[in-house]
Amino acid sequence: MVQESEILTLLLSIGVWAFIHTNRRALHALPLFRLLMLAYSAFFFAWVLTVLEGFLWPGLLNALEHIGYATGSMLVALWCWRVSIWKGDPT
Amino acid sequence: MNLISLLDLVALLAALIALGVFVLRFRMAKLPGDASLLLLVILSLLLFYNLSNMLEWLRGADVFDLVSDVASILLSMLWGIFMYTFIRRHAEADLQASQQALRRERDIVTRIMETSPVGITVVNRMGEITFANAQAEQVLGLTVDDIVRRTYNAPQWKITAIDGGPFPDERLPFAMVMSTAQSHYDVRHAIEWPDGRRVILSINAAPLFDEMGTISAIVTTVEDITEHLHTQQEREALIQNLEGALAQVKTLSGLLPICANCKKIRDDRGQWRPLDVYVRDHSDAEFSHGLCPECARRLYPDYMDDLPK
Repeated sequence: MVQESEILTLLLSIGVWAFIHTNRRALHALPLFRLLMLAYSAFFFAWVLTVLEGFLWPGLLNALEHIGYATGSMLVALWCWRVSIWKGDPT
Repeated sequence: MNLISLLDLVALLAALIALGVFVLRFRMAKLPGDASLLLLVILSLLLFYNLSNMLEWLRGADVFDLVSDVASILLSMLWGIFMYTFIRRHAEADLQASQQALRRERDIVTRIMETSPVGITVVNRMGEITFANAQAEQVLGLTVDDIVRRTYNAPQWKITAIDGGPFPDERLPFAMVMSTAQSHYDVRHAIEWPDGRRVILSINAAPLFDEMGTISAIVTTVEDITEHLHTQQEREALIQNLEGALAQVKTLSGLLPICANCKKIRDDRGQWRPLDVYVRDHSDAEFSHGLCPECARRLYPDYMDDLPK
């Protein structure tokens, strides 16, 4: 069963996704932007699956959703660590 | 422990590591202040979200489901706010850097204007003088306030050609730049100062373009070359005098064919001429004729025998 909160999360994340794509050039100033975007994509993938699992293959999509959370969290941790040792432009 | 709870545990540990790295090692200076703070909130929320996910899965309690839902909404929202904040702060930093660079350039231009040995003026596209540096006062014989009240071709300038004749308006630097949209150099004409002194100017003019590519103003450098021209004229006159004097100086040089017996010299036309005539014609020397004692004795022995040897 799809919950309103999941729909809301999905809509917000789609909005953020659109915002990121619109401002991709400006966001390249973020340290290691691609890695952070990969992390966000993993979370976005998980939020999409959260909604989809209410309609089809609940077991499989739920497992994929949690893989998305785990991957996203690991990528965020990796980003934090790499930025902490990063020697690039402080902007 | 099944696959899902294992994945949630991995996610929880990763979020914990991310938060730990951020707090312990992440140099805040790498992100603008509030973006850094937002990231800290996101990482804390991620940790909280993964924890509630795991507890929800393990215990199936509704309270964790609710917490997880709220956390996921906040998380998705905060990602967007974080990105927006970063862009805004970065743009502000860029703007600040641009403003600083602009200020620095303006300072440089101001110093150049102040220390320039030539007068600098700016004329707008209407022909009105809008700026004049301090040196322009010395060159144009007016105060800056008086200069900026005039147009480039105001009658008060009393513009004439160097020789005193009329100087057409279309040959003035402003008109030439406006018509060609190119820089023009060393345009020379004379003006008259309010005290009646006549000054000859050398003017360089260059156009300033706006974003549309049309001329918005013209920058001119104005130099008083009156003294320079006088000096140049004096030098040229001096050179002419010297050249004339040199032409009058007759010198003898080179190999002269001379008769070994009578001492006549063969000239350019092949004629043998007496030595004294040749020297007289080819130098400024004149001869006064007389006899040396030896010749006098030889020529007039009766008269000269009494002379001591």
